[in-house]
Amino acid sequence: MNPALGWLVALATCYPWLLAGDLLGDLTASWHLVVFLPGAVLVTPFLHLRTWQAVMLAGCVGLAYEARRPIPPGLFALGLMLLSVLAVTWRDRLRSKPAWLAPATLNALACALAMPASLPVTRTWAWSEWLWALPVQLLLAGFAGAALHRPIATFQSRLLERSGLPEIREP
Amino acid sequence: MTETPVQRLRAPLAVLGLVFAAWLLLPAAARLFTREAFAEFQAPALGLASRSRELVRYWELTARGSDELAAAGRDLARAQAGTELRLRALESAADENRRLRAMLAAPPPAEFRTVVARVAVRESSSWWTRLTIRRGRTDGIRPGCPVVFGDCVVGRIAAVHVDTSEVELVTSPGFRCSAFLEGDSGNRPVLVSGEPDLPFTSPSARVTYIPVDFSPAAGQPTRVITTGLGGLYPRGLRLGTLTGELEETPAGAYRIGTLQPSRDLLNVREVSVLVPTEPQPYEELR
Repeated sequence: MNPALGWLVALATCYPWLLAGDLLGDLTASWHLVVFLPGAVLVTPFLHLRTWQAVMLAGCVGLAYEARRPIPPGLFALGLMLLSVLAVTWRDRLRSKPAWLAPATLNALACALAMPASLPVTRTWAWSEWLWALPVQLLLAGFAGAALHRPIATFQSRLLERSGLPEIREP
Repeated sequence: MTETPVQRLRAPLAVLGLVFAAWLLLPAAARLFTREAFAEFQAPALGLASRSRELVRYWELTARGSDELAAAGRDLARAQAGTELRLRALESAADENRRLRAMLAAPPPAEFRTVVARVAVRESSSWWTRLTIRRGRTDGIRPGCPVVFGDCVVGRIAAVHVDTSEVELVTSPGFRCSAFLEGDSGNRPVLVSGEPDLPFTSPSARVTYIPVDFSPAAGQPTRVITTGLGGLYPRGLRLGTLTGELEETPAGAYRIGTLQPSRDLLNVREVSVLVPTEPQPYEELR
């Protein structure tokens, strides 16, 4: 596999799950909850991609997420890119047990970046309301990452390995 | 020799810093183009998902019995007869309105073209409350256009793409609209503004600048209707009803209330976009 295309293949394995998150979010909209998955879909590709590829992938996932939401262009994508640098640097931690921990943590962290990123546009500054809304949303993001980690990881790792992108093992 | 994590981080962080600087220096048009490209990339998948849901609904409807269809047809015919009567009355009122406007040399009111759109996906959090609809620039929709369902305001168009648009709902933080309170003989305008909704609560908005001497009619909810001021929404559309107690501001200048939206906003499946036939001043201000 051409390394320049590796992250594009990884993006193709992420997008169906982002769409699934949107459709699940449609079901939970009546309760003012968002099913957030952009962090969870990055864990498996991070184990298969080089650092620069992982950063490119995180940027694209971030831009795809913020494109249809009131988030200033690039704000969430850059945050996710920073998260990807940190995650890939400590790749061995992503493989830690239990397997649901890394997707849950990364997804909650990404959610903590995405929701406040909309503040410059939505002007929601009521801190008292944040104290209730943000933890609930972070918990849901963590739960979604943990609950869906197995199907996401199985789907993505099979596709990535078939595309000639095996898991990277540090010496 | 093995690298420490800090040494391993140095190169990627330096590259990330360069990317960040490049993004900041990038012209705004290029950033918006990137955003638009990513939105368009997702539009077909959203459309497909929405059409699949409609297909399921269609199959569900075709499975219904002929008796049920006959009853629905009869009810529809009755409703249509009533609507036709009301239409005649409205036509005569419109004629009278035109004559009076001509006598007073008043400017004609804004006219709207209606574009009916299906909801592709709904998204709601404490930070934003939005719908994505399956109509866009190719259907003539422009940013800022009002979105209604029947005579109830749903929200306004926040962003337009080629075949899809995003609707900011009445309850979304950032939504603002002037309104009248039903029963206020002075027709004094109040301000309706969306506010963040907490998880597991029903959607609501805030009504401010309610005159101190306004007293809601006992036993029936006070309807909040659009003023038509500013040209964004036609006059007389329902925004919702005033619920709960009215709170007086500390200075005692006015009171604040809570607006319960007219429809269950987060369950709506089809909306109408009112596209002004002539560009409105608010479109240039955006």
